[in-house]
Amino acid sequence: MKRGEFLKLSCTGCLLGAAGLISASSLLMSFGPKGRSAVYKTKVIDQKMTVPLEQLALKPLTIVRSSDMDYDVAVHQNEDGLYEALLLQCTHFSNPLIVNGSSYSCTLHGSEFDLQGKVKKGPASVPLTQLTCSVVENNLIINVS
Amino acid sequence: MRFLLTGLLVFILSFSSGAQVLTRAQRLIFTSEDSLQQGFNSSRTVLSGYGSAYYQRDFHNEHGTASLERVVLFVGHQFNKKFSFFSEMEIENALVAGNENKGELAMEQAYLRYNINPRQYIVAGLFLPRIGLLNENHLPVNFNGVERPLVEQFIIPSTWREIGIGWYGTFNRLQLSAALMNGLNSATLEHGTGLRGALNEGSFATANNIAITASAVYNYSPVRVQVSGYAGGTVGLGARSADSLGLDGGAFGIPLYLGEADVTYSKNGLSGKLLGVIVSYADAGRINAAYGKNLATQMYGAYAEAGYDVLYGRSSRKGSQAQLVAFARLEFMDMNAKIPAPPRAIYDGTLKQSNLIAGLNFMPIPNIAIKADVRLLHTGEQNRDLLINPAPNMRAYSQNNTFLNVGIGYSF
Repeated sequence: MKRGEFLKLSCTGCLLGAAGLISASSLLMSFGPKGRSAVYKTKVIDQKMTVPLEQLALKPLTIVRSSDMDYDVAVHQNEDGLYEALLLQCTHFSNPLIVNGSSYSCTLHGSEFDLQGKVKKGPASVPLTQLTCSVVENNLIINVS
Repeated sequence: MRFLLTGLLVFILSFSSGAQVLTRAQRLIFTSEDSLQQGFNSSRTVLSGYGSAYYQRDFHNEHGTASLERVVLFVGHQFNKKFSFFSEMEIENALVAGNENKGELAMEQAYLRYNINPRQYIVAGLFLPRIGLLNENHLPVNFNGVERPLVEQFIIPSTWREIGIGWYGTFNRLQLSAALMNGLNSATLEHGTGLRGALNEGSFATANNIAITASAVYNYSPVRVQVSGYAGGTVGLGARSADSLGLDGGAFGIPLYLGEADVTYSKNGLSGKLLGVIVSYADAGRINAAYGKNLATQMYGAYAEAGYDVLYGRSSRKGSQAQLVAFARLEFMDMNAKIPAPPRAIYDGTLKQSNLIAGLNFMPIPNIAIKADVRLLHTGEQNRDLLINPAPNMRAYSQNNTFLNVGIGYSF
C-alpha cells in the first residue's frame, strides 16, 4: 500500500471510528439497567448526596451516580435494615468498579468485592470504603467528605 | 495416609473457623473534598504484584519440574484526575542469565491512561487487549488450577500484549473496548506453539502492519457474556522485502483473524466457564513457502469448567474469607485443524489435544492460593514424517499422559 493511500485510509478510519464511538456511547448511556439494581442520578451539594427512600425501595441495590464524582456509590440495606453506602472505587489501583450480579468487579486486574464491600478475590486486599449515611425525612443523606 | 488426610482437613477448616478479620468495611476519612472527587488513594504511587511457583510431575516421561513460575511487580502512578501510568514487570522462572535458555525478564504492560470521564478511558503504550478470559485477568488467584487453561496459552496466547492505543467504556451492564495495535510477526511463528511465536510483546515490533481488536461484555447477574475479535496483518516486512518472498506487505498483508466468545457464571459458591475460540489464517501456505514453516490455516480451542466453593456460606458465617474450590475443566484444541495442502504443510496429530483437569484451590484469604490438580492429556497420533534423525534410544510417543501439579500463588 502506498503511503498516501495508507494515510487516507487511516484518517478516514479514525474519523469514522471516533464518530461512531461518540454516537454509540451517547445511545448506550441511555440504556437503563435491568435486574436487581437501579441507577439514581443526583448532585453533590455541601459534601452530601440525597437519595429519596422511595427510590431505594425500588430495587435491592441502588447505584447513586453524580457527575461531580469519579466513582459511583452503591447503596443497599443490610440484614439489620440499616443503609450502607459503598464507594465503588477499587482499593487496588482506584479503578471504577462495575456491578456484576452479587459482586463488584474491577476490570483492571480482576479484583472482586462482595455486596458488603469485603474482598472476594485479589489482588485488592482492602475492603471498599464505606461512606457515612443517615436517614432524614424520607431521604438518605450520604456524606461524601 | 488417613492421619495425613485428617491433618490436612483440620488445617483447611481451621481457616474457616473464626480467624481474625477486619470489620465489614473500612472507613477512610478524606481531609479534603478533592481527594474523594478526584479518586485518589492516600498515595499516588502504588506498588503491588503477584507471583506463583509450581511443581509438576510428568508421569509418562518420569520427569519432575519445580519452578518459581513468575514474580510480577506492578507500579502505578496517578498524575492527576485525568492521567495515570501503569506498568507490569515480570521475571519468569527466577533466573535470567546471559543468553541461556532459562527464565525471562519482560515488561508485560507499560501504558499511559487518560480518563475521558469516570466510565470511559483511553490507554496508549504496551497493554493487554481484551481477548478471552485470561489475557486481562491472569493473576493466579483469578483462575482455577496450577496451569493456566491451555487454550488460553496457545490459541489465545496469554499474556498477549502489543503496543497500541485502546478505548474502554462502561455503559451500565455493557462494557466495550476497541484497540489498534501493531500486527503479528509471521516470521517467528512456530509449528506447535499456536500464535505464541508471532507476538512482538513491545520489543522492536514490526510496525509495518497493524491489527484491530474489539470486545463487548454484557453482565446480567449471575452471568457474564463476552465476545471479542481480532484482525491483523502478519507480514512485518517492507514492501520490497515482502515482495521478494512472494508475500503481501502493508497494514493487513496476509491477515489473521480470531474470534472468541465466553460465558461465565458465579453464584452461591458455584462457578462455571465456557469459552470457544477460532483462528483463521487462510494464507498460511504462503508463509510456509516463504519461511519453510509448517503452519495451519485454522486453529480452534474450547473449554468448559465448573467449580464449587466447599466452604461457601460456612466461612462467612464464621467471619472468615477462606475458600476451597473443587473444580474440573475439560479442554479441546487443535492447532492444525486445517492445513494447507501438501507439500506446504504436514499434519501433526499431536497438536490435536484434549485435557481433563481436576483439582482443588484453597484460598485462606482472597490474595493467596494453594493449588493442586491432575491433568490427563490425550493427543492424536504422532506423524513420524515430522521426526528428523530421531535418537535410537528415543522413547516411544504416548498419546496419553498424566501430570500432577502443585502450586502456590499470591497477589496484592
